[in-house]
Amino acid sequence: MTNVAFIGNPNCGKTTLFNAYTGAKLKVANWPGVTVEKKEGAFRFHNGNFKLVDLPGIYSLTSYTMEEIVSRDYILSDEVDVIVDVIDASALERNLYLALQLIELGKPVVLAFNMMDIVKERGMEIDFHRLPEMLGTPVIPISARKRSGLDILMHTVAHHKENDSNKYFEHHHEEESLHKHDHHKEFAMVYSDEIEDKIDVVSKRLSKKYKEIQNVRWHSIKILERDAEILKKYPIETEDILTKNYETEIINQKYDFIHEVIHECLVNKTEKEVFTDKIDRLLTNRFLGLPIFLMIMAVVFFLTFRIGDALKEVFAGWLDIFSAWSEAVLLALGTGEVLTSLIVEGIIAGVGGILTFLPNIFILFLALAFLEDSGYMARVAYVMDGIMEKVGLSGKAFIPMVLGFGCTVPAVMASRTLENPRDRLKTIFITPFMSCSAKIPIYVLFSGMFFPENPALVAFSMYVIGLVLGIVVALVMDKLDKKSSDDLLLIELPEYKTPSLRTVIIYVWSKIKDYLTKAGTTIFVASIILWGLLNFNVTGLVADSSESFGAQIGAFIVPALKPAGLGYWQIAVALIAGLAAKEVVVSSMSVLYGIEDISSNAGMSEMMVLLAAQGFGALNAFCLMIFSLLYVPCVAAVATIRKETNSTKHTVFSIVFQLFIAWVMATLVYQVGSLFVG
Amino acid sequence: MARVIIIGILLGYCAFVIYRKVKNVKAGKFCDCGCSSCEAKCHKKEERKQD
Repeated sequence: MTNVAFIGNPNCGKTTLFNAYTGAKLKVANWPGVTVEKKEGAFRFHNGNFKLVDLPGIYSLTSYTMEEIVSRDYILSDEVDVIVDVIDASALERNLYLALQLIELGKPVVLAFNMMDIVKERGMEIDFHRLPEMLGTPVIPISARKRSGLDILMHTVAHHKENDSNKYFEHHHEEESLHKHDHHKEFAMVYSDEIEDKIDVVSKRLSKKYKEIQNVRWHSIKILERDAEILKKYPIETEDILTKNYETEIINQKYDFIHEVIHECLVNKTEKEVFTDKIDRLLTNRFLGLPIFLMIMAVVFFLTFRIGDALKEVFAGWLDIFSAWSEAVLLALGTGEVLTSLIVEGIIAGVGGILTFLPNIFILFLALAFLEDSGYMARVAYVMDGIMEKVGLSGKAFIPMVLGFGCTVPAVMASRTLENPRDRLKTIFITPFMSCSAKIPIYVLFSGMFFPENPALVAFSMYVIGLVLGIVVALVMDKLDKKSSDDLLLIELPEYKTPSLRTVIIYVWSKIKDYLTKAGTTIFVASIILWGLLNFNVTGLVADSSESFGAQIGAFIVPALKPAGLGYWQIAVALIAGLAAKEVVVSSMSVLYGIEDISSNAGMSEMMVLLAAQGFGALNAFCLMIFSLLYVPCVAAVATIRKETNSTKHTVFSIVFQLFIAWVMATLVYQVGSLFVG
Repeated sequence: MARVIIIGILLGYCAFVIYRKVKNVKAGKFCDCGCSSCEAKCHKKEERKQD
C-alpha cells in the first residue's frame, strides 16, 4: 500500500483530483477553504494499492492556523510515502513557496501542475524539462477537471516512492556561493552563506541530541524561523546562533529563488489580460459590485420561479392522479374513511405538497452551483467587505451569510472561520435571517396565490429583507458592543471557470437528495402528527377541525400574532409545525385546509377562497412570509447554534431575539400596510 | 385486515424515523445529514468531544 498525501494551496484542485482518482463525491467549489479536515480514499492503479489523503489547503508549513497544523502534522508523520503537491500552475509564485518547503522536508515529493488550461489562456508556457533540474523533483502537468495527465502522475508517484533523494541539481545562479559546503549540488533551495552557516551549526546540534530526526535540515530551518512547535519539541542551545529572527530573510530568499525558477521556466509570458481580470473589473467594482450581485440573485430567483413553476404544474398533476388513485384503492381495500383521510389528506397532501416544489428547489441549486463553481461566490465576500466593515464585521462574516441561502446548519458552522469570538457570535445571530432553501415553498405558495403578477419579485424581496435586516442588526450590535472587528478579509479570488458538469451534478444531487430525505422522514411524520392534532380532541374524533387539539393550541397564541396580521389558529399551527422544518409550514397548510394538491393552480385557488373567507389577504400573506423568513429557524439549526456557541444562554437569546424581530417586522409591515390597504 | 397492515406499516415507519432522528441527534448529527456540502455531515460525537 502506498500512502499518498495531496497537499497544496487552497482552491488549487486537490479535492477534484482526489475525487477523480477515488470516485468520491466530496464537495468541491471554486472558492478557497472548502476542505477543512483531511479525507481518505482508496484507489488501485496497475495492480498497486494506493491510499489517498486529501488535506486542507494551506499556503505554508508554518503552524499559525488549524489547517496548517493538521496538514503539517500529517505529512511529517511516517504514514506518508509520497507527497503530491498540487500546484495552480497559473499562480506559480504563490504555489511554489509551499513546494519549496515540502521539498525541504526531504520526503518524496511530486509536483502536479494543475490548471494548465488557464496557463495556456494566459499566453504562457512552462518548461517542464528545466523545472525538475532546478527543483530536483518530478513535475507533471495535469488537469484534474479534464482528467488529463492523471495516469502519468500516479505512475510517477509509484516510481518516486522508492527514489526519494534528489540526486541532480543544475542551477545557474548569478552569484557564486563562497560557502564551504556549497549545498547547490545537494539541495534545491540554498540560502545565503550566513544562513547556511547557521543551518549547519543547528543541524549538527540537532543530530547530536536527537538522533531520531530524519529531516534535520528542515528542522534546523524551522528553528532559525523560531517555529514555536519545533522549538518546544526539540529544545537545543540556540542563544549563540539565533542572534535575530531569520524568518523574514528565509522567506525572502525563498521568493528570490522562486523568481529565479519562474524567470527560467516560465517562458513566452505575454502579460495577456485574461478573462478573469476583465470580468473582475466589472464584478468587483466598488460601486457596481453590489448592484450586480443583487441583479444576479434576482435573475436566479426569476428562473427559480418562472421555470420552476411551469414544471411544478406537471408535478401537481401527477400528485392529483396519485391522490385520486390512492383514495380509490384504499376505499376498495376497506380501510375506512378515517385511515383513508389520514393517508390522502394527511400524508399524501403533506409530503406530496412538498415534493411538487422540487423543480423550484432544483432550479435554485442548479443556479447556485453554477455561481459557486464559476468562481463568482468568492467575489461576493470581497464585494461585501466594505459594507461588513462598516457594521463592525469583516467580509469573512458574509461567507456564512451566503451559505445561509442554502441551509442555516452549515452556514452557522461556517462562522468558525472568524477568529474573533465576538464576531463569530454576531455572525451566528444574523445568519438565520438569510432565506434558506426550505423557505422557498412558502414563498412560491403565498406569492403565487396573492401576488400572481410578480411572484418572483415578492420572493426576491424576502431575500433582500433578510440580507438588509441581518446587516442592520449587525450594525446595532456593533453600536452596542463598541468593539469592531480586527479580523481582516484575506480571500483568494479564483479564476473564473466554465462550471464542471460533474461538480454541478454532485452539488445539485446532494441538495435534491436532502430535500427528498426530509420529505420522506421529517415531513412524513410531521404530517401524520398534524393530521392527528387536527382530527382529534379529548373526546375523540372530531367532525370540525376548529374543535381539535390543533385549534386549541393555535388559539392560545393567536392573540400574540394578531397585531402582525396572523391571528388565525391555522396559521399559528402551521408556524409551530414549521419549527420541525420550514417546508412543514406549507405541508401543514395542505393538511389544515384539506387541500391535496396545494401547489397546483386549482389547489391555490381553492385555498385562496378559504383564506379570503377568513379575511386573510395579500397583506397578511406578505406578513406571513416575513414572519416565516425571520422567526426561529428549524430545530436542526437551533441545535447547531447551541453546539457552535456552546451556550444555552446564547441559544435561548437567539430564539427569543429572532421571534422578537420577526414579530416586530411583521407587525410593523401589517400596521403600516393596513393604513394603505384599508 | 388491510387496515391493520397499513396502520402497522405507518406506526413502524414513524417509530423508525423518530428512533433514527433521536439516535442521530445523540450522535451529534442535528439534521438529515444528506448534504455533502454540510460541515456537520461526518461529525461524530467523539469528534465533538475532542473539539
